Amino acid sequence: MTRAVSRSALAHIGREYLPPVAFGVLFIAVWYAIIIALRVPGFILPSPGAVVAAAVKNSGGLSHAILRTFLEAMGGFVLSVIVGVALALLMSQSKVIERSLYPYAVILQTIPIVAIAPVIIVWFGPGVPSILTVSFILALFPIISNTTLGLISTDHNLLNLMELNEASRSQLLVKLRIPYALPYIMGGLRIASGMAVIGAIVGEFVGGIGGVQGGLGYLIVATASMLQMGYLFAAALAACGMGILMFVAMNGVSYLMLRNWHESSVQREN
Amino acid sequence: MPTSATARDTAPAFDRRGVPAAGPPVIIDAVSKVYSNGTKALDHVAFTVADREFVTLVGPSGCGKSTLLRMVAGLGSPTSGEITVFALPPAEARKQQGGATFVFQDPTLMPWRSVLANVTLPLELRGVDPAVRAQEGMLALELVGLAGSARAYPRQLSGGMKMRVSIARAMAVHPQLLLMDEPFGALDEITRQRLDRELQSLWARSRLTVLFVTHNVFEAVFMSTRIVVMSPQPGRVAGVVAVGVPFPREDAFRSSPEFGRLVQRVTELLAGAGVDGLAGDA
Repeated sequence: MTRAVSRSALAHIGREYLPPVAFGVLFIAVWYAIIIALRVPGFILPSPGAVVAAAVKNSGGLSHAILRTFLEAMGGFVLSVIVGVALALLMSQSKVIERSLYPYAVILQTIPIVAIAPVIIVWFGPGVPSILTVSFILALFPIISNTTLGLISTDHNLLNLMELNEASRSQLLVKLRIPYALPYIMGGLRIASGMAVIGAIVGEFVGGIGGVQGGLGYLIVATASMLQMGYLFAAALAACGMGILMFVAMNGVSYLMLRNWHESSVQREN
Repeated sequence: MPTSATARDTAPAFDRRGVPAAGPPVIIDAVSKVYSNGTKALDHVAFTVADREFVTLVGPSGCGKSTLLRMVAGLGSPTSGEITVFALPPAEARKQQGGATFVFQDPTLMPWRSVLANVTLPLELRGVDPAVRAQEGMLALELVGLAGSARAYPRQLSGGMKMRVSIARAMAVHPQLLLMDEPFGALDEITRQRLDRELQSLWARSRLTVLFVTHNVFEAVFMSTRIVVMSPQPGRVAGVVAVGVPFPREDAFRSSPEFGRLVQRVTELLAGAGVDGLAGDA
């Protein structure tokens, strides 16, 4: 029984993880092959080995930058969740507010944040406040639009059921609208978590402070200007890794919250 | 906790305490309904549902039978005419302890709540004490034979079981009037017949008054004490057929000559070929 379970679990892990791992190995192999075959110089494309070597050599500066960017991204993300969900709840409570704000919430998503980031730097000055703001704005809109969509698409029959049972406004919100919107909110958080990382790095590009205070965005700009390609790649990969980690973490949270009931988290036999 | 005390008062269940004794539970008096787009859905519909009756509204899609049933529940109101439930306006009647409850066409369960938590939702919304409502919920689930699935989630249940949970939720508030909008319409024929039998025995045991909507003539004849046949566009009463067959009705009733005769009678009314049809158009 136990053996059967562990064997099927192993088979599951194999099915789930083997293909992406195999692809990763293949990718690195092709990377090496291109460098060797085309004799690409290290200052254009460093070899995977050179990237690892640069990461090890600069591990102090790199880990410092990672921690810094991570904290900024988390700050922007948490702020966006609080403000985004609050705004969406506000919109769901009044048709007038919803009609006046929702179109903007959708349209504002398309603003190229890179274009307005310098404005934010002018307003808040270089450093953490600006970086947090860029990260916050970028993460905010997916949360507002997803949460609002979830809150306004509540099943009509369930609304009738609540009405027939004389549910109060707050009961309607807490016992029906919010739980119903949870899968949508989780989808918003998943997108927002990645956006927060991008926002923090873009913020550091334009408004980052150098030296020991710099995050990954600053490090990427600085190493690129000095053609330290190994270090640059290590920093860029660290930024990718952070985005992926946030996404995976949000997937985990989403699974924990929805596992009992929502299609997206339910294991199917067929 | 005054509310929990009230729930306990009616706990021996399904008797008719606190109801105005006089008059039929449902009176539909010259009810017309015009939708906001100008469509006339109902035209001078009139009938009553007497105490402990099982009245079925039969008609094709678009005859306004669901609209009418929803108005009896207080969801929407007639353009003209009057509906009274236990001598009150529908929206007032449903506030009364153990007044009218509604069973939707779909199970309309909350997927994030367990079966028991779904059944006890109406009690929870009324502020009934948790221990009392768990007890009431289990009683209601026993009524539909699903006490064993109390901890399950709706997604783990079949369509028929979900519908039974929905009925249990309606029964948990000890209603005196059950309004059912094609509750078994989405189920397969075998499940539908089983649930028809179960509902019939539930009705017989609990002495409920039921107003039931269906477009299935066989279901209507099998279940009802009286059938109100409706014609479409706009919805009118095409005729009323009394089913005098005593309860409990066994499956054998379905193959009796009497059953066939009643089905034919209702079908004729539906086709507009009733001998004394269109009489109810008053």
